[in-house]
Amino acid sequence: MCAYIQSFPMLETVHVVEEGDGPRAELLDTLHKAKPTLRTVAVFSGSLYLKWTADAREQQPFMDDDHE
Amino acid sequence: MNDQNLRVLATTSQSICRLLLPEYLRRRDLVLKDTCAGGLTVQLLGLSGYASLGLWSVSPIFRPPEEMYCSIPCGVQEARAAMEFLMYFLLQPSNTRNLRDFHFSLQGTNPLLLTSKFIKMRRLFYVLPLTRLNLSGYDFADYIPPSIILRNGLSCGSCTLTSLVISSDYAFTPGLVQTTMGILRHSPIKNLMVYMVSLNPSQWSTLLGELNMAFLEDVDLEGDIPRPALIRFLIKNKGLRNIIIRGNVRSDRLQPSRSRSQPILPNLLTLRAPLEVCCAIIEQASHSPRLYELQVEVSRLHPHHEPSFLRLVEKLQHFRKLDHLGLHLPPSPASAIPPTDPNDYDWNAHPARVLRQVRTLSFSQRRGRLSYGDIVCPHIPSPIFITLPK
Repeated sequence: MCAYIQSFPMLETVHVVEEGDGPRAELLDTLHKAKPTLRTVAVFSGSLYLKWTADAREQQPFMDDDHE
Repeated sequence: MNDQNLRVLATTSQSICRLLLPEYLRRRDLVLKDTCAGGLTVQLLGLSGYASLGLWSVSPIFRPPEEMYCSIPCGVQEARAAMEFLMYFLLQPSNTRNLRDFHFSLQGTNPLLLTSKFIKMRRLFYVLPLTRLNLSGYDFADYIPPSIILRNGLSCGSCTLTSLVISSDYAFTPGLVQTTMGILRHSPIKNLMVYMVSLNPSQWSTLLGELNMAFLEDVDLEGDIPRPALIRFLIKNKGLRNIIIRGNVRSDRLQPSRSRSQPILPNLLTLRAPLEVCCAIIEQASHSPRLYELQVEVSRLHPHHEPSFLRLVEKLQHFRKLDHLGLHLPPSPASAIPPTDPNDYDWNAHPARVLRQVRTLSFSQRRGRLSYGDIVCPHIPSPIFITLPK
C-alpha cells in the first residue's frame, strides 16, 4: 500500500476502510509518512476512526466514534 | 376503545383526536411521522395497523401521506389481509394524491402464494403519482421460476417514477413480473438499483437486453451477471453518470458487438465495479472526459497478481478529470495466493507514476482487516523520507 501511495505523484488524501477494530495508529503513522504531498490520511477500522491532517496543530491521530 | 368508538370520537372532537390518535395507532403498528413538519410519513408494521387505515376516510385530521413504508406481515393469511387493506386505502385517490415515495417490503412469506394479490395490486403502480418505488423483502429461498418470462411486460409504466429499487425476488415472480417489466421499460427512471435477487445469468441477460432506459443516470446492479450482456446494457444507456456493479460478473467468449472505435458512456462520472468490468468499460470509454472517481475490485494489491490492473492504470492517464481511485479487496485469500515480496516489483515503472491527476487513493476490505503485508512495505526504498522536514 505504501508502494502504491508513493507511486501516485500528486496524491493528497488516503483513506483505508476495513472491518474490525483495535489500534491502528501505527498504520496511520506509516501511511502519512509515506509521501510528503499528503494532506489527509484516515483509517476507518470498524467503529474506530483515526485521522491525520497536515494542517492539524498536533499531528497525532485522534479517535472518534463517528466517521466523517 | 374500538374502531367504531374511535370513528364516533373522530367526528365529534378533532382536538381530542389529535392528542389520542397517534399513540393509539402506534400501539396498533401504524406510525405517523413528520406530521408537525408539514409532510406525513406512514409506517405500517403489523396487520392491525393495516386495518386502521380505514380511519383515514372518517377522521378529518388525517392528511394524505407523502411517504409510505409498508411491511407486509409474515404468514400467508396475514399477508393477504394486509394487502387487501392496503389496496382498499390506495385505490382512493383522496388518500394518495400526495404519495411520492412508496416502500413495499415482504417479510418472509412465499410470494408465489400471493400471486393473486399481486395481480390485483399491479394497476396501482401505474396510477399512483410515485417518484420513488422500493420493492424489498426478506427471502428465505429463491422464488424466481426458471421459466419466468422477462421479455415484453405490460405496455404501460408510471409517468412519474424516477427511482426504482428492487431487492427481493417477488418483483420477478408471476404475479408481478409483467408489471415490473412494464415499469422498467416505460417509466422515466433515472435511478435504478437491483440487488439481492436470484436471477440466473440467462435471466440477467434477458432482462438487461430488454431495457433501453433513455432517462437512466445512476445504476447499481448486483448479481450473477454475464459480462457481455452487462457491457451491452451500459453501452445502450448513454445518459449513465454513476455506475455500481457488484457480484460475480461472468465472462465468456462473446464480446459486445459495437465497434471499439465508437465512444460509450460520454457522461460517466463515477464507476465502481470488478476489475474485469472496469477494464472493459475503460477500454471503450476513452471519450468519458468527465470520469472523476473509479472504484475497482481487485483480488490482490501486488502488481504481479493483477497484470490487468496495470493495463487499466495505463489507460487511466487519458482521463484527465480522474481525481479518486479506490481499490476494494475481497476477504484475504491468504491460502490461495502465496505472499509476494513487494520489493520483487519495479515500482518506478508502475503506470501510476504518470497519473498526476489522481489526488485521492482509497483502500477497503469488506470483511476483516487489511493484512499488514498488504499495507506496509517496510523494505521498499523510500527516497521521500530523505526529503521530509526534520
